[in-house]
Amino acid sequence: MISYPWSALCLLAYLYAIVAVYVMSLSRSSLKTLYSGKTCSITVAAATVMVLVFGFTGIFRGVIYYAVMLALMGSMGLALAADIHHIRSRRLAPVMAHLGVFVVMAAGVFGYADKQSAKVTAYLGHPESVGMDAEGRRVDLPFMITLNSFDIERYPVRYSITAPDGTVTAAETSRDWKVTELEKIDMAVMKPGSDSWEELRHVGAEPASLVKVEGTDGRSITGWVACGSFMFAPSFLELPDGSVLSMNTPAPQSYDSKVSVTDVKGRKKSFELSVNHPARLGAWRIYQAGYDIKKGRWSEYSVLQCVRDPWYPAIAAGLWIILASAVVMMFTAGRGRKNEK
Amino acid sequence: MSWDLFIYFAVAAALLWVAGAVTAYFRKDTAPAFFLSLAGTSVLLVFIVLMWVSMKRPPLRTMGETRLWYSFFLSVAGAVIYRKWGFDWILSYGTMMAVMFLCINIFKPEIHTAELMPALRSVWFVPHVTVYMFSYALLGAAMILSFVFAARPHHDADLTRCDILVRIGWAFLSMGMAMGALWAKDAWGDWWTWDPKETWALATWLGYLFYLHARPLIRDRRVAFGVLFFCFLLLCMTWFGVNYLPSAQMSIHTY
Repeated sequence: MISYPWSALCLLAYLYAIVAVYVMSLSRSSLKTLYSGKTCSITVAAATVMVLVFGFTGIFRGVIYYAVMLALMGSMGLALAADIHHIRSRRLAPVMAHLGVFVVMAAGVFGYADKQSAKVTAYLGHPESVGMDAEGRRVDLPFMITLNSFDIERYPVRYSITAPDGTVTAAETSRDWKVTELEKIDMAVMKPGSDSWEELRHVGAEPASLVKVEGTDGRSITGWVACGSFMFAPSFLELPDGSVLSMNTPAPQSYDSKVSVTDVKGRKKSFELSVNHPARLGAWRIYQAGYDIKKGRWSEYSVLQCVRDPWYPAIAAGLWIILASAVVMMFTAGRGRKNEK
Repeated sequence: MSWDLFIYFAVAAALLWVAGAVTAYFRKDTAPAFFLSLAGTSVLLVFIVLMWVSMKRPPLRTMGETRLWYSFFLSVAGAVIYRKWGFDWILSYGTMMAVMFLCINIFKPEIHTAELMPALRSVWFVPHVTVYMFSYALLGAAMILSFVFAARPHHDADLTRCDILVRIGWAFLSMGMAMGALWAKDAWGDWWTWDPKETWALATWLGYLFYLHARPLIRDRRVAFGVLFFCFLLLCMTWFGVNYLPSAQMSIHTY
């Protein structure tokens, strides 16, 4: 795989070739078949079939993939050159769509080898400058990350009822049982020898509730339920009909890491990362990727994905052009075709 | 508001849509049928809004919730096409499809209460899904139109109306895909991961792109219908069929 600066040079050579072939096609009509409606339809059909094969087999990349991509990009590049040459007789939306898709594909194909990605497991207070790529190889990062804190915001606790036949229903939708919380503890622990939960901010503490469950037939029962954790076993409540009430571990609503990043020149920056909100450090972006799911809110590390993507602006620009072309197409779809050359 | 009340809203919406569809055959003036259809759509919209408020999140998370939006957008598309081009049969076909999806929601709900996972808490979530649902509805309407044009003798100009729907539908597909790529980059650091859902969405997008490029070469209306029918199958595969493939077990898009 070629990487920068060769990738950029190859892209320039490719663009030059497209323009050269297009200019030659103006005097040799046989070359116009390279970007005729029929050729473009065939290349798009070939790409559709190829992607369909991917869809069924899950296998991609290979000689066919590159051949089809090259053919598709070639006919699209030539069609785009013709669009730009005859811009006055062209409709704006298809020209913009050609441009956007071509930019995305060209930057994606030629910039593929320039992308670096590494997963970093950052433990609280421990500086880390080494990550692992998707193949498990070591990647030395040009900066050092220190995790200062990790927090999870979670949804309220919910209860499930498992019937004797194994059917599980959410307690709030049950027609047979009504669950009322008499006491609710967010950080609960069960001390050895005890059969009830008590409030204590301790590693492994998770929610527990004292609940009253009333049936439509008048029967009722009161007891503790808890979702448990890596340290404490969960508590269930057996209902009079043999069903079991349990507490679900609260699902994460969001989780974020406060990190300090020090670059090779010793400059230090602080960031707050969460899913969908990466931090940017030059061509690098740092993403919140995960945490210790087993320990949940007590996770001692945060998993961060560090990605270097110098072609980011080109691909983002291409995608925004596609978005704009779609908006233009929406408003101009009803108009007839222009007399295109 | 809960799903228990859905059946009442669904029946009210369906009755109004059927009334609109029947009126379309008997009145030359398009206004009564158009407004009856929109009244049915409004009933569904009220349910969607109330669900949104009660769940404290947009109802776009589960398969059942996306079907709500599909019925909603399909009825909107049917009413607008009827009002604009006066096809008296479009409301019947649109109603049949929209009611079919409401019935699926009644008999096979797939409406499990689901919290929004952190990756879905993004500004892209609502536009990405609604744009896709709208495009699916338009492309469904285009398929219906091409079927009727292929089955009955029509003027060739009618097929250009079908093309307009495909163009707008494809524009919305493109928007959905571009938004998805921008969102994926923000969430995971990759524009595209060849996730099964993404792969099928790309196949669908390419299928309709093929139709748009090959359309000037297609003279036979039945061929046009054949291509659109095939593309619609791809669309259904993307929307829900992919969930049944073994490869979807590892998908980040299964819902």
